[in-house]
Amino acid sequence: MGRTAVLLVLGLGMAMGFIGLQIFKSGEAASATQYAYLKYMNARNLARAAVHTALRTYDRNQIPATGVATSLGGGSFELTSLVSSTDGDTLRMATRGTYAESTYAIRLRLFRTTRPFPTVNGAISIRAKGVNFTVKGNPTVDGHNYDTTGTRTGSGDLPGVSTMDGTDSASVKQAFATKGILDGTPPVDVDTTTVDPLKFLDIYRNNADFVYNTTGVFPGQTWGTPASPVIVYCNPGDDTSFAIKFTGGVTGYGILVVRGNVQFNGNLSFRGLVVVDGFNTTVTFNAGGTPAVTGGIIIAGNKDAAITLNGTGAAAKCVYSSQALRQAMNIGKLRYYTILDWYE
Amino acid sequence: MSTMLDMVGAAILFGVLLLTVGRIQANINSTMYQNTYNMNVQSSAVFLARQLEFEVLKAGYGVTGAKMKIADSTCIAFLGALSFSGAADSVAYYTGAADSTSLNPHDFRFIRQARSGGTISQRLGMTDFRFSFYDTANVRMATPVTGATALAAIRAIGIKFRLESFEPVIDPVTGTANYYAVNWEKIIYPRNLGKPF
Repeated sequence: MGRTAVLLVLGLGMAMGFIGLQIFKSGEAASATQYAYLKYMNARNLARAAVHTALRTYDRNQIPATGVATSLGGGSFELTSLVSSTDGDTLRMATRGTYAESTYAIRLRLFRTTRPFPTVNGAISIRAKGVNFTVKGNPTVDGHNYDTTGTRTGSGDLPGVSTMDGTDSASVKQAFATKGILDGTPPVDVDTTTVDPLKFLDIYRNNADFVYNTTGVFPGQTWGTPASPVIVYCNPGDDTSFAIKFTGGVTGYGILVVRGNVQFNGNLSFRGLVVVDGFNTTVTFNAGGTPAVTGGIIIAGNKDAAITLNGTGAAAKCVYSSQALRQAMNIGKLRYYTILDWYE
Repeated sequence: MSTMLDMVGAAILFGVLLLTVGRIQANINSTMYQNTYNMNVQSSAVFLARQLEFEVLKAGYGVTGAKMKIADSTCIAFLGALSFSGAADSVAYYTGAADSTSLNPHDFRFIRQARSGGTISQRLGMTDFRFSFYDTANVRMATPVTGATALAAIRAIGIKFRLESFEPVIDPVTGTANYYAVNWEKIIYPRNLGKPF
């Protein structure tokens, strides 16, 4: 009887153990199913992260590297291939996300284009009436189309200065009558199509690489490079005391937005678009330097907006350059992407 | 006399043990059913979720012109190539008739119809299946979405389904029938729906 009871208990114990194991395996299989889905989702998110990372690299005017795995959240992502069209407008890329043993691949084709860009109708385009235009020293304003090296291209010439009405045209002519050189096709013209740059300014402010919105004196500034143009936003407020002064040499590439009163003391070399906007704005290229803008200047604002061109030598100039403007237009972070094909 | 008492006592103890074992066996069976149904429902949900994600993400891929054909709360039809650089296919999902082969009184068939693969009526224990649609401003659109302009404005598709077990698990204590269920919900953004062509 005793041995029978022991055998019975042992048998029951083994049966319970077997059943318990089956239950455990069943629960484990359910967990494995859920975890497999989690791994799949993580791999997919990582592959998408690779796309976003590549595009943000373009935003910084850099070319994303292929074949470099980046670890993130326990997995990794990688841009496996990148082919750009000759003009850089179409991108084909393939990415891969890996999480545990799950891998997810995305292949896509994007059209890369630029945001709307203010049209420049001359070396200096004025979109304000009653502008106080002053010329001092011996500056040159030339609407002929130059390349970024300062050589005339021979086509695409514009007026030297375009104004909104005949009164301002006469005022500009008068300002250059005894000082400086005004050239272009024609030197001065009335063009009422100059766009109000105000609608672009929020975009430029939000994407600015350099922001000057407090008073101060800033010596020797360098803004970007020819290969990596940037956005500079100056807004000291509508005062008359030149709250922001740039002293010494200033070199920049890209888009320079000036709201309020700014004074450039010393040499200025800027390649791209300069937007001067604001109530009672006064911008002075001052002192004995050689301010030079290659690209275009748009002056917009209320009556009494003023710009003073200074400079002691012939190097002080503003010349129109469609090439420089195109480079400014193609600043990475101002570009956006349209999906042509997206396979995942 | 003492032998008789031993035998009666042993019989009573054996009976108690047998009843206990029987009760444990019932509970174990119930737990095993729960686990099995849980696993089956979860596996089906994962399978269906991955199928829907894989195919709905292809909406508009390799297609020019209209990409969405039908956009209703329980039915969707779209065009899209399901393989890389493949030919455009036509895919539709909708709910079918009640599933009379299961004990669950609420489940119905899930229908996938594709030009390339014909019509497949799937038994998944589906008791709820709904779509929602979002436009270019990420605003939910009223269903059904009709008209070429409204269909072209769809940028995101919300999918929600509920799967339940085919059979109930009877609670050994209360005797109530429980159907094990999985809810899944997701808003999918098929990137090709925003193509300019």
